[in-house]
Formats: sequence, C-alpha cells, structure tokens
Amino acid sequence: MKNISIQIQTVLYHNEIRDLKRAVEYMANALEVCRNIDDCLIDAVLCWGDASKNPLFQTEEIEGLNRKYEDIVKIKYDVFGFNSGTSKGHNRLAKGCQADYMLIMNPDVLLCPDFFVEVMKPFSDEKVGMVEGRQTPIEHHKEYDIETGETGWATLACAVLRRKLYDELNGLDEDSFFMYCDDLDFSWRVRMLGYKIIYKPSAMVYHSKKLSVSGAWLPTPAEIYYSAEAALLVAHKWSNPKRVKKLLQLYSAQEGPEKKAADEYLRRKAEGKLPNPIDPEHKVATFIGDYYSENRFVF
Amino acid sequence: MKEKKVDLLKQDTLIREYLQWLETKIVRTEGLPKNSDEKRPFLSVVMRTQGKRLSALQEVFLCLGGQTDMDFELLLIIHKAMRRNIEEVRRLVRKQPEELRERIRIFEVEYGKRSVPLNVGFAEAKGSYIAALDDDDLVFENWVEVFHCAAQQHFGRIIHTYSFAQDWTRIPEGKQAGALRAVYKPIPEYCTPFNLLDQIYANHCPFMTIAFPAFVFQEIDERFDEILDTTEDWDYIMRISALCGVYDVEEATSIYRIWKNEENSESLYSKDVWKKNQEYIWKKMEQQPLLIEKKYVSDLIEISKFRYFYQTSEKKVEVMRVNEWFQPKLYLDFGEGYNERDVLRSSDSGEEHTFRYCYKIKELSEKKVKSFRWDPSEKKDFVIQDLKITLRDQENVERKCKVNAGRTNGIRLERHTIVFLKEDPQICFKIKNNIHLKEIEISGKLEVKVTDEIYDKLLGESVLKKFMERLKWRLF
Repeated sequence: MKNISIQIQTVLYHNEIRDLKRAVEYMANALEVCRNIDDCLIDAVLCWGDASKNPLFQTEEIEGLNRKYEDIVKIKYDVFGFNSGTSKGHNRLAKGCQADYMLIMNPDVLLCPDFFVEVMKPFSDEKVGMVEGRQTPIEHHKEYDIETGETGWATLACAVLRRKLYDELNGLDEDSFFMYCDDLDFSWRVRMLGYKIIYKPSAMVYHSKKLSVSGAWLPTPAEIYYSAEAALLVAHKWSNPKRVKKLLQLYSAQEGPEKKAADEYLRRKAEGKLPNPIDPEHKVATFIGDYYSENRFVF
Repeated sequence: MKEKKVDLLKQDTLIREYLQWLETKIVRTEGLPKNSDEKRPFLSVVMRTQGKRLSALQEVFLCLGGQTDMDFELLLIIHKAMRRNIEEVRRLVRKQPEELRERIRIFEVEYGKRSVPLNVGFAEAKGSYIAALDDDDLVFENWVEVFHCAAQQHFGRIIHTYSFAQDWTRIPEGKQAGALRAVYKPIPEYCTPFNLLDQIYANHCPFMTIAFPAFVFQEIDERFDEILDTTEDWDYIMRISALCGVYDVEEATSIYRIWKNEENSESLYSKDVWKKNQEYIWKKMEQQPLLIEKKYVSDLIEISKFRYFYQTSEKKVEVMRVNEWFQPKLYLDFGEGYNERDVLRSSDSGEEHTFRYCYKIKELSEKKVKSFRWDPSEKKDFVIQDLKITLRDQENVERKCKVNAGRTNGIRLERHTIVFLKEDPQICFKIKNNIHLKEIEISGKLEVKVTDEIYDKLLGESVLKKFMERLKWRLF
C-alpha cells in the first residue's frame, strides 16, 4: 500500500496535558517508523475534539505542537464546548474527512513504533474493514482466531478502519450510545456489511488500566452507569428482549448507578426514543452471558 | 546501665556477633568510588536481555513509556547475545520515541552467569533506588510512582509491591506468528505482603516487585553472587532485607508472565540446579546473623506451636503395631462403680492400625452390667476411627452401641472418630434395658499419629490452621 492517508481522531475530556503530549510523541514516532520502512501513510492528520468543560489547550500550544511535528502529522484542535461522549464526538470529528483510513483511539494511548506497519497489513485484504491493536499491560480477553486474527468485534480504544465504511454506516450510533458499546455496535454493523474485523496482536498499544489486588476491575460510578445503560441498549438494539428483561430486573433491584441506568432506559422507551431492533436472527450479534463474544478468559 | 551495655558487647554475646558482622559491611565503604554530584534519577531500572524476545522487550519499553512518574533511567544490559541479536536490540532502542530513548543506556556483557549483568547494571546505576526488570515483564503505569512515594517516606528500606501472574503464549504460526497472547486472566499470586519467614524457604517475590536502595550495592558493596545461575534474585533479596528491612506497599504494579510454550529461567535449568542453588543459599543464610523485625514475632509463635504439635505426634510413629501400643482394659460397673477388681483384658490381637477385642463378661460375673468403661491405652495423642461396639446378651442377641451416646474425654470429630490428646483416655457407656450381657466386642482403626488432616479438623477454620497450612510442607 502506497501513498495512503489517515485521520487519527481522539475525543478529549479533562485529560492531563502531559499524557496527551506524550501520546502525540509516540504517534509521531510510529508514523516516522512507518515512513522509513515504505511510503505508506504519507498524509496524517490528528484531530483532537475537546469535550472538556474548559479547553485543555491554548491556540499557541497547538501551534507549537504543529511546528514540532510539522513534517509528520498535522494537528487539528476542535473545542466542542460540551461533553459529547465518544460516539457523538467521533462523528463530529469525522465530518468531512477525506482520508483513506481512520484511526480512532483513546487520548492517552501510546502506539508502539511498529504500530502502523503492523496494523495496516491486514487491509491488503479488501474484505477487512477494521483492525484493532493489542492493548498492554492488560490485554483484552476476547477470543480471536490465532491463524487469521479474525474476531467478533473491536474496541475503539485503538482501531483503524476504512473511512468509506464509516461513512457508509453513518458513523457511530450517537443517538443510542454515549460512551460504551458504541464500538461493539459499530463492529457488528461492519460485519453485517460483510467485512471482517481483525485483531492484530503485534500492533501493540499502551492503554493504562488498573486492577485491584484481588484482580478485579475498579470501575467508577460513572463507568458503572454508562456500561449498564449501554448493556441495555445493545440488548434492545440487537434483538435480545430476554436479556433486556433480565438486566432491567437486575438493575432495578439495585441502588445507585445501575438503577439510574434502568430508569433512563425505561424513560427512553416511554418516549419512543429507543432504536429499532436489528439482526433478529442473531446472524452477527453474539450474547454469551454478560459478554459479546467468546473469551479466552474473563475477569 | 551504660556499664552493662559495654559488658554485653565485650562478652561472647549475640549482639556482639551481630555488630561485628555489621561492621564488616560498613568498613567496606572505604576505597569504593564515591558518587558524583550530577543529578540522579530516583530509579535505575536494570534490565537484562539476550535479544531473543524482541516483541516482549518492545512491550516493556511501552510500559515504561507510560509511567506516571518518569523519574527513572533504564540500563539495558545485553548479556551473552549473538551479534545479530545485539544489533536488533540496538535497532529497537533507536526506534523508540526520544522521551524514552534518552533514558536508555546500553551495556554489553559477554561473560558470566545471570548475576554478572546485574552487577554491571547496579554498579552503573545513577538512581537512589534500583529495580530489576526482566525483558518480558509487564508493569502498570504506577510502577515507578509507587516505589518513589514509598521511598520518600521510608528511604533506606527495600520497597516491595504486589504483582499478578498471568499465563501467556507466543503464537507459533499463521499470519499472527510470533505475536504474544494472554491465555488466562491475571492471578493475584504475588499480591501478598513480603514475609521474611516465608522467604527463608523459597522466593515469593518476582524481582520487579522490589526496589533496592542503591547505597547497599554502591557504598556497602553488597553484590549479586556470581556463582549462582538461578535464584540470584532470592539470594540478594534475603541479604539486603536482613540489612535494610522491607517496606510493603499493598498495591499491584506489575504482571509476571508465565510462558506456556516458551523457554524461561525455570525451564532452562534442571531441577537439580534449582535444588543445588536453594541449598547453597540456605547455607549462606546460616552463615550470617539475621535481624528479624518485631512484626514477625507472632508468626514465630505460630511456627513454634506447629513444631510442637508436629514433633509430639511424630514420636508416635515409632510405635506402629496396635498390640505394642494398645493395652486396652474394660472396666465393668455392676452397680458399685468402677474398680480394679472388675477389669477385663482381651487376649485378641490387633493388626497394624486395626483392632478387634472381645471381652467375655461371663468370665467375671453372673451379675448384670450397669455400665462399662473402655480405656484403650495409657498413652495420649492418638485417634480411633470407625469405632464399633457390639453387645451380646445371653441369648446371643446383638445390639450395636451408638458411639455418640457414650461419654469420652477425647474429642469427637465426625461420626465414629475420637481424638485423644490427654492422658488416661476413656470411653463410657451405660447399659439400658437391664440386659444380661455375655460379651462386649470393640473394634476400630488406630492412628498413632495425629495427622495434619486431623489437626486441620480440630482447628477448624482458625487462623492457626491457615498458618499451619502455609508452613507445613515448607519447614519440615
């Protein structure tokens, strides 16, 4: 693949400036390594969409970064002025994008030097729609084919996709998902169009996560709320009323964020704001317990 | 009071021995290079590599790049590597972003066992603390920060943090060949406090969970033992913890990868080598005094308790045959209480571990027995299992005694099992319904050793039990 362009986009929300600058340095480094190997990815644009209450950067700082990386990547900074969530934020950043590919990633992700070299390889197959990198130090637990890398869905913590596919699918479902499961929903829609999703373990990215000393996740109340809300919406949209019922019973019986998520779902239902269910025969959608694919292990 | 202290140091006391040993450490500082005034990072990370697993090495670089506290340097020691591998490591370093690359110093070491590159790295370290990181380890973003915060408050101590173990494989073939794949979730295997007593038997601390104060190497000249080809980390941790003590931070900062289809130090060396090195380290431990922090006293009491239980029961193993060990007597009460006149001894013999005694009442009296008491032995600390007592009357009608209905000075466990820990063991039964007894038959199994399993049951879920479980196979 020669002379291809990529738009890298990230939604910012109250991040540490130091982390963002470091992420740009790693990204720029990976682009340089890729260009030193062949001439692919000649045109790279980084789009930062800032959903923080107050802008994280001053114009001069962005200009300084553009000077620093001027031969490698152009940085665009869009201040949203509201908390867009990830799906609405990415859709906004993707508007008017003409690049061949898009890299959607979390703001603090660090790309390994060979990231682009590795992550672009599977796109030589035209039926590949999305390629996801491997997160470290805690690798995602979903299963993938160790021969081909094919997998059921990709997280958008760091994944590359064909821009035309994003357009064809009208991007992420921002009406349904605020910040979780937008990637799952998008992945399943990619597969419904007949494209493959590839997990590329040699395309490593650093994505910080923490475990308690017992090995459990430590979610914040906001994370619990948005993941509970997303779980209900995914089950509804992907035609799994049994799971919706089960989750509603479970969440309604609890106090706190889960109950709030159940109430929000019921409110949307009452107001007729739920999405129309799709994939009634579950040709793509997979529900295995509380997971959306086979897993190598679970936490 | 002052004079007494002086006397104590003049005599052949343990304190004097300890202080003399300590003095040898302090005297060594003379002639060693002094540190310059240049700005030192907090942490020197010493990493050995042979350049054989570059994707794992790249992953460690990424993890280091993601640290919340970047106050560290990385000393990459390429040890006994082929020229091609050395070049690949250097090329990989050149590919890193400047922020990380400028922290890396590369050294090539072409000789020696696994300790040699550590000594080289520790000698070159500029940090006030030093940690060793393997070229396939994974560290969280807080790895340096946790060491740093703890060292600021407890400078001079070893800092110990928690770690997970996780199974990994290298994909052998196909389009993903060579890539690394986690195959099981991270297990909190090493998420426990540092325990010096546990450490005496074996190492329970992956090397990257520890940061050493640099002065012990650079000023006291405590070096890695270059004789060792395995467990050099354990040896060093033990020696330095004896000098500095350990401060624990109950926070997970890393993942220790267990390769399921790759070589590692465990698979590279035979069990004999590991055992030989373990014994060598134990010998070394015996040759120096050991300062134990007061927090371990309660653990020592538990160990002492366990040793007492174990040794007491172990002695019983010497006597195995039931006949040699049992000298049971049956006391009969004809309404006048038990006495030495109305005693029966059986001539039946027991096999190893089993017994069956038949007592003929007729031999003693025509009177009716009101109750009987069986004294199985004059010894203590044994277990009777599957105890069965059968009564036969004059018409040869059999009645089974309910073992639980009897009284005993032993401790009942589950059905038909009684543990006797006190002297003069007894079991008593009342005879109901005015039966005219002809015979009493008593059978069962004898365990002359109170086993760990029995102690477990006796101790239930107590803290002592858990402690014993942890130690029973390690210490004896």
